[in-house]
Amino acid sequence: MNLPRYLEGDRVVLLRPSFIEYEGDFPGFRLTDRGFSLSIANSQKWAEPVTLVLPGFREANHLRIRLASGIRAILNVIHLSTPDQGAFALSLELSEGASLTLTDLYLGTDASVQIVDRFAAMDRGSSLEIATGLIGGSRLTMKDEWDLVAEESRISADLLAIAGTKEQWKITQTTRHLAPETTSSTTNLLISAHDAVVNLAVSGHIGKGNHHSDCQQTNRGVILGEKGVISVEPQLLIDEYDVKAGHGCAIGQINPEELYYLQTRGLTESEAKRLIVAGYLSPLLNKITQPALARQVNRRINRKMKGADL
Amino acid sequence: MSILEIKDLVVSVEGKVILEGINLTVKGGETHAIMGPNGTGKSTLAQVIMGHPKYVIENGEIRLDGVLLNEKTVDERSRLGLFLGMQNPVEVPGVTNFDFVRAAVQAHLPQGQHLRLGKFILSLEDAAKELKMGSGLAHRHLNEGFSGGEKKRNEILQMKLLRPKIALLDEIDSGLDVDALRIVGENVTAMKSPELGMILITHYQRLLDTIVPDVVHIILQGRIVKTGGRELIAKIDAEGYDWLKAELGIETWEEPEKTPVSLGTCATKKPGPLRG
Repeated sequence: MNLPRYLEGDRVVLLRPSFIEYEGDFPGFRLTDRGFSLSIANSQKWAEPVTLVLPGFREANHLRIRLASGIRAILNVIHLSTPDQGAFALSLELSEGASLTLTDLYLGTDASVQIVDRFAAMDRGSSLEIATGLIGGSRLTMKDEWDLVAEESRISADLLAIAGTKEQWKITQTTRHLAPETTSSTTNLLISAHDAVVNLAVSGHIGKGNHHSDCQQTNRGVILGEKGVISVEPQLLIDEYDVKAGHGCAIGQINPEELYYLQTRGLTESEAKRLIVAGYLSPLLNKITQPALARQVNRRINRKMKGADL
Repeated sequence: MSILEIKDLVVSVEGKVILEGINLTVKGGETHAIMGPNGTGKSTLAQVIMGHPKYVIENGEIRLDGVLLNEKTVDERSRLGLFLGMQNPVEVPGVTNFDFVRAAVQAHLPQGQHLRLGKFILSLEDAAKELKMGSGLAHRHLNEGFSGGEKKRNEILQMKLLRPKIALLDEIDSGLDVDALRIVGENVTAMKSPELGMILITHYQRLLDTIVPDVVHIILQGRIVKTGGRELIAKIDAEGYDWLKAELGIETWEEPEKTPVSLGTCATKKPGPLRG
């Protein structure tokens, strides 16, 4: 498999079954029975974004990333398209004081089936900033479990999910505050183009004794087709008094008052709708620092939304 | 010099007539104030001129420079030169102020002409500076998390960049503290020119002390019942609208009944045993 042109020139590691290919020196990779393991013990190589490319296959479907104490790393994980893409699991383990900025992009073809399980365990003072783009997969089931295991760990999880024609997606997110003074912020932006069905269950748990924790959820969804469905079930399960927690959820077709406001400034209905939808896309696109990759993601999004009521 | 002409305008919403024969002419260079108690049709008039789809024109016409607006879409009216500064500008999450204003300015350029980005950025920065708005304004999401004063200043910023022929400013003074009111007032007054006609909708003299109108209209029960000069403002400020009752033979007027509407809930309830 050749590297996609839009990744040429970037710091890229290609993860193939039984084989890891990269130019330059990226120590810490290992093949395992289930897939790949990456242990990052030195910040030097990882302070600039490194892109891990997964072609999408059935045989090796696990990526485990471990950061040693105090390490900072910036990673992109790109899941390329194959028609028979199966299950994939991502495990993240952040040691004390480690910090990971991760952009996780699923660009599978419309015909693919994806089952994705993601898990993070956060040690004391560690920080995970994860931005996820779900832009492919006709049948997608994603399950996230974020465990804030030790004090002062924090996670910020942003998701953009764009489901297109005949797609049915089920996403479950669970954030567990298992220690005091832990912080989580979850933002989900969902787009149902055409007749796509997206179900999201998002829950935050703050256990007893885990005081001064902060658990926030924001969920917004826009339905662009007459037959599209988005359902969100936000939950907060709090078993401690001295905490902050909140959730918000807004789902529907494009707000006619937003549309009107933009039109009063001269934008046509179509231009206004596109600008409103761009407001869903920009948080993810702004996080992709490589221009060629951002353009490719944008192209993929446009293809997915082609023919939507815009 | 532009001219906005409203003739015999009758408007309904959900089958109920709310404007009953409005006649109004506003020319470039003129500033008109529209005053009146709550619920008498002031904001409705502004929305109808702008083309809000909620309202149905039952009779009459609205023309801008001779062009009949009745069937024009909202965006067409904007591009023809109308501007509505809103009482409650909506928040549009995710859309930056910069992207929005740029799209709006581009929309007003002749077809095929592209915005010169550098020039636009300088204009935006200048306008923001004149309105004493923070430097981070451009990259904030449109009206999201803005204070009342910031929202109103942002409306005026758009007006400065779009350079309308006729501007309708709907309670642009609400939510403004004394300093913000002065800044808005100075900026709007500085825009006065023979190329700009303005309609100010307000409850309060304080706005009209800073943006001085040429003509004052009072709306009651969906009609313009009195037109005069600035002396009307002082009279309203001192006496309210009671004196008009006597003058017009109106016993009472009631604010239109507003039906509360549930905006829904995101809460879910699942059946199950109670614990504890």
